[in-house]
Amino acid sequence: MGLIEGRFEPNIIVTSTDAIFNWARSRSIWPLTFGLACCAIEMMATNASRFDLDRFGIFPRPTPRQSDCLLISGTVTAKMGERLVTLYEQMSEPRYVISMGSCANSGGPYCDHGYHVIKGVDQILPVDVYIPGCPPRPEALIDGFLKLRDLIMKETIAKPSA
Amino acid sequence: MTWLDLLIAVACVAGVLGFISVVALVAIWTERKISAHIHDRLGPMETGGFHGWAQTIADMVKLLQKEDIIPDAADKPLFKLAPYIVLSATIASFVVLPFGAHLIGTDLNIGIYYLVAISSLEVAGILMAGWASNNKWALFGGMRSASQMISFEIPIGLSLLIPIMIVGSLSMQDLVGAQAGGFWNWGVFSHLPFAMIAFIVYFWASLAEVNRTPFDLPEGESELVAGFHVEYSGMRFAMFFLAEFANMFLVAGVAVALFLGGWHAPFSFLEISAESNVILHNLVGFFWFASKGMVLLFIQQWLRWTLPRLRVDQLMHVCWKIFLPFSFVNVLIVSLWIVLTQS
Amino acid sequence: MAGYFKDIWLGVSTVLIGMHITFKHWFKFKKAVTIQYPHEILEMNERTRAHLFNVADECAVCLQCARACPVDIIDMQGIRADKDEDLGLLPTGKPKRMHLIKFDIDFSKCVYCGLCVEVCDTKSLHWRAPVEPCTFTREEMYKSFATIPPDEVERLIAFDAERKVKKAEEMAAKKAAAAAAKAAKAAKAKAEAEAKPAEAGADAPKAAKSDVGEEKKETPAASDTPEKPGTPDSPDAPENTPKPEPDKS
Ligand code: SF4
Ligand code: SF4
Ligand code: SF4
Repeated sequence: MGLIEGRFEPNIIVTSTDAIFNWARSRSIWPLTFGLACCAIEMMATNASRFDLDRFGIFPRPTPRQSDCLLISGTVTAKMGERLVTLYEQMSEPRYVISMGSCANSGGPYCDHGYHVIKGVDQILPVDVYIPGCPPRPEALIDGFLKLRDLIMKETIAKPSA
Repeated sequence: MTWLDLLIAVACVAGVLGFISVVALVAIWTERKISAHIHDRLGPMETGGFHGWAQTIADMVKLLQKEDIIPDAADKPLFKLAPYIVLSATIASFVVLPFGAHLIGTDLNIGIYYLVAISSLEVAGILMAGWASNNKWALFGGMRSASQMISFEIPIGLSLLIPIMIVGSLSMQDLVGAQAGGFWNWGVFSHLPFAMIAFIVYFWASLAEVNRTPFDLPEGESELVAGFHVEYSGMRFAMFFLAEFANMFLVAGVAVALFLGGWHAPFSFLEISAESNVILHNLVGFFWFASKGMVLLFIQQWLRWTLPRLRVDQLMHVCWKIFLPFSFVNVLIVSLWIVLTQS
Repeated sequence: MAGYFKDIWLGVSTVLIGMHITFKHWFKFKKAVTIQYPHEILEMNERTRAHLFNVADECAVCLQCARACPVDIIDMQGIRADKDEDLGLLPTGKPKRMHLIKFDIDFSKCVYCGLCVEVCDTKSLHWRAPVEPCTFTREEMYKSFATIPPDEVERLIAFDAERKVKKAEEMAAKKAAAAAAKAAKAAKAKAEAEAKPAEAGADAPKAAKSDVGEEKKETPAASDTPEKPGTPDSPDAPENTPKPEPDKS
């Protein structure tokens, strides 16, 4: 958690700070430069000129410390799963996870017979947004980021009401 | 030292800090826009309405509230200190930059010498960050940064010697003042083509000094993840970020002050004389200085999105085998020229 | 020495060439190719595999898609309509004879291969623009396309069960009747054989032949009736599709 989360009762100052912070957070989602399988190609295509994720202030950071969002783009094998968890743990709060493509959502084509594939990355990480597709079109990925934006806009730094 | 002095000093630092922040915000936004347009993209478009002008503000506010991670294995005091050293070295060097006739923190009589000395303090901060992170990529980044900064100090120093020799002073205001009266009096155009060569060498070497492409080896994403700031998150990273862009403006500002007429307008009728209105005179001077600095900043960014990264050996080749001999020969010829014409 | 200067010249000139090229792009001598997605949507090809959708009213419940799916994620169930029920026409022109009570696709597993769309005869299963919507939970990706409300589904299931029971009874009754008839026939034949032992060799095969012929006649007649599912090329009807009833003809 960040420095100020969960310390104050909800009041007028906290809610206006919330508004600013959520605006900033949701407008500046930096995903980790991290591709796993074929979905990563589509992720690159989305970052490239045609769809240009940079329009939303989304540009990939190479190091997990400076990124806000772990974009799981592809097949998560059991072996890679451990690395993913490590990467996630290295990220600084607030952090989000987007599961991109059928492989990450539920194992996809490997859901029945893939002995080596984690059947859904939500078994190892808390996923915020799922993007169906194999691979999801760039439009779907953008939709996913916009959906994550909606999710962030609902956050608050106030103490959770007991 | 009186209270007034202290107040002026504080105001000066605050002004510099504000200027740095604004420059960094603008520069990051233009960088993203320029890179986008060079890629036939659009760049930030959504945040804040018109062409995503608020993008950098959102980035900064976000970085402000990110978790501040200090790795367990890090050397904690050094790790915490490093960004401050980098940033304060940058701020300290801004103090002698002449933004206008009176808009200068302090006009030291060894201004340019002070600037070169202080701005290389940054190496210490970067090396500190690389070492304290206890991460091999960070260490590599820090080492590369140190080696390239120290090597490129030499051509930078030698090419800065040219205007210093021509003017005969180390004070920034003297150096700027000697270029008054139209663009043909600017430093680049004196002693053609030697001052021009000095300017080009300085500009290229300064790219290495501020770790910009094509000399951005310390951060080489494809090899070193993120270089010396790989372990930094949140506000500390924002400081490095700020310092990087402020440094870009700093080296551009030095180039402007020494070679491109400083705060003088390209034509003297575009200036307002100090006698008629001091404040306006300074403001117009500031405008010219800042716009010339921004043009150089654009050129730096343009170069960044044009050229690929050099290899370490190529970097050293460029420094020691090309820039260095050129600067030496330059200094030799210009000093001979000055000696011959003066006698 | 000449090589040294040549190198420098090469370096400077290539940098300038590169800067010239990027400059042209920078100042829009080439227009940006970006599609600003949520505001403008790229026109997609007809067969772009982006968003799968099934129109329940047009589905013939032929199970072709479920069988084609490589990951077996189409979970469907249909109930045969009553004889005099009118469900409208399918896009193929045939009347719809099946209620689609369940058509679920787990889009978290779908690989968007399009095989199901390829085999769909009525084109009720088709691709839509622009893309499959994203979700916050995995359950939301489990999508249902059947439009029949749950109480109606219950009614249909009850009705189908009833019909099955009835049919079973009918079948049993018919079987008993057939057995009785056969027994009677056999008895008759035996009596005839006993009566006319000389003619027996020619008569018995004839009787058998006529039996077979009758059955053959019955089967095509049954498939012509509207009771058969819309697509004639489905060999396996859903499990609860009643077998063509021989007493219809
Ligand atoms: S979901 Fe499809 S495209 Fe994405 S990684 Fe899996 S198989 Fe590849
Ligand atoms: S597109 Fe999806 S539902 Fe259709 S056959 Fe392929 S995997 Fe199955
Ligand atoms: S193939 Fe088409 S008509 Fe047949 S069951 Fe599937 S969706 Fe319905």
